[in-house]
Amino acid sequence: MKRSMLYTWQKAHDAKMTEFAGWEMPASYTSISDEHITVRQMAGLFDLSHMGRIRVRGDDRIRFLQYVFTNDMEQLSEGGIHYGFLCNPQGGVIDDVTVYNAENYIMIVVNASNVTRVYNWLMIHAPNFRIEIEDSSISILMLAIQGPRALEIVNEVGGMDYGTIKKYTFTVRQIYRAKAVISRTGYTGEDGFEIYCGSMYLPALWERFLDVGKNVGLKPIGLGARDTLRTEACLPLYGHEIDEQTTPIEAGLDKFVKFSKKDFIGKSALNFSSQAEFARRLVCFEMLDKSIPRPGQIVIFEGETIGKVTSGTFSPTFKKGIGMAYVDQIKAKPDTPIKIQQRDKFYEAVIRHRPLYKRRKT
Amino acid sequence: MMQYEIPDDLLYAKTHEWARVDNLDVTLGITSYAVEQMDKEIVNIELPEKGRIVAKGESFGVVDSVKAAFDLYSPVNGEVTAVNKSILNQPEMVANAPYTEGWMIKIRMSNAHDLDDLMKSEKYKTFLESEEH
Repeated sequence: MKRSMLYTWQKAHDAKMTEFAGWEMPASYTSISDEHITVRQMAGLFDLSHMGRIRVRGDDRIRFLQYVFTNDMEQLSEGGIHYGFLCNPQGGVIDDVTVYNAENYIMIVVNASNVTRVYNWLMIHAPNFRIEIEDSSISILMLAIQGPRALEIVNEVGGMDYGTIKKYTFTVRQIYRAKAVISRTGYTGEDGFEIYCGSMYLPALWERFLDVGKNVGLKPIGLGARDTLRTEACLPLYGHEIDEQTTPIEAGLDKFVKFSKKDFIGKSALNFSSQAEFARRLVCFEMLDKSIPRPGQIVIFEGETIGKVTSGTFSPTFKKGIGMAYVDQIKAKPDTPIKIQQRDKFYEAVIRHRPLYKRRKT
Repeated sequence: MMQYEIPDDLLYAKTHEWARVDNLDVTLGITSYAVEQMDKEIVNIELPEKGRIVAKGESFGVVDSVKAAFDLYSPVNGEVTAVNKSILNQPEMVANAPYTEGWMIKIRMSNAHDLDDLMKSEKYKTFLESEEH
C-alpha cells in the first residue's frame, strides 16, 4: 500500500490507519465525532496526499478542458477554480474534479481512486490538442485546513492576510518555507483552504500548522470525519453518489454542466437526460427513528421501493442518522416521509432540503 | 499490540461477544476489543425483545459506530429472558463499561454444549493477537 510522507508522524500520533484507494491513511486520531466537532467549531488539518494532481500545459489547454470537462472554461479567469465533471459519452461520470486555471498550466485535482483512470482518459483525448499532460501527484502534495478558525491560522503561518482569496479562487504565494498554491476550497461545508506544495515542504508545513494552530484548537483529522463532514454538507463522494453509471443531472449537480458550451464529451446524452422526466434524483434525508442508515439499504415510500441509500452515517452535529439516496424523481421532494429498510425492519425517515448542514455566514 | 481488558471469568466468541455463564443462563455483551474497533464510539444499539427464540450463530442485534454497523451473534440456542434497555438510550455505556453496565441480553440456553465452541480468556487473547496481524 502507498503511504503519505506524513505516515511516520501519523503513526507516532496514534492514528488508526485504514486502507483507502490503495493508500494507508489515518481513519481517525481521537474519534470521528471529536474530530468532526473540532472542524465544525474550530479547525482541522487534513493530509490529502492520496488525491491526484494532474497538470496540463500547452497552447490548447483551455480548449482541451473545454472538451473533456463539463464546466465552462471561458468563464474561468486566471486564478479561478471550477468544480465539474469528466464524463463519458453516455454522460456517466469518469470523475468529479476541481480545475485550477494557473498562469501557464491547468491543474486538475482528482479523486484518489481515479488517478490512473483520469490520466488515461485525458491521454486518449489528447492527440488532437497541443498539450502535455503530467501526473504531478507525487511531486506536489496537498493538505487542507477547514473550519471557522482556519483563516486566522493560515494568516499566522503565512504572516499575511489570505482573507483576500475569495471562495473558489487561488493564489500562488509563499507560505512558511514553501511556495504554494493556496485555494479557498474544501470538502467539509466549512470555510477553509487547500494548500499545494512541493513534496519536500509538506512535513515541515504540516507541523508548523499544528504548532501555530494548537492555541485555537487545531487538530489533525482522519478520513472518517472527512466522510461524516461531507455527508452532512451533502457533497458527493465518487463511488457512492456518482460513478460511470450516474450522470451529474441525476446527482442534482446540473449547475456544473454548461450546455451553452459548443461541444464537450457527454453533452448530447446529458442534454437529453436533463430534459427527460428523469428516473431518479439524489436526495438527502434524516432519520426520525434512532437507527443509522448505511449504503445499499432500500428506500421505501408507501410500501413501494423507490430507491437506494448511497451514503449513510451517524451525524455528530445533529446526533442522529443521516444519509443520501437516489429515489424516483417524482418522490424526491423535501418533507416526503420515507422508510429505510435495514435487514427485516423499516425505520422512519424524511427527505430534507439539501444540504443538511450549512455553515452560518460570518 | 494494544492491551485489552479480557476478564478471566468469561467465555469469548470469535465475533467478539463475551458470555457470562450461570447454569443455563448466559449473559451476553461485546468485548473491549470490539469497542476499540468501533473507535470507542457507540451511537446506536438494536436488541431483540424478551421472549424471542435465537439460534446459535444468528444475528440477534446490531451495534452502530459512527461509521459502520456491526452484527451481534448469539453463541447459543435459547430464549431471550432479559434485555438491557438502559443501553438503548445510553449506548455510550457499552463503550464505558462493556463487561458490567454494558451487558446486552440474557439467554436461557437450550443446550449447554453450545458453549463448547467458545474460548477461555487466554485463548481469546491469543486469538486477538492473530487478528491484529
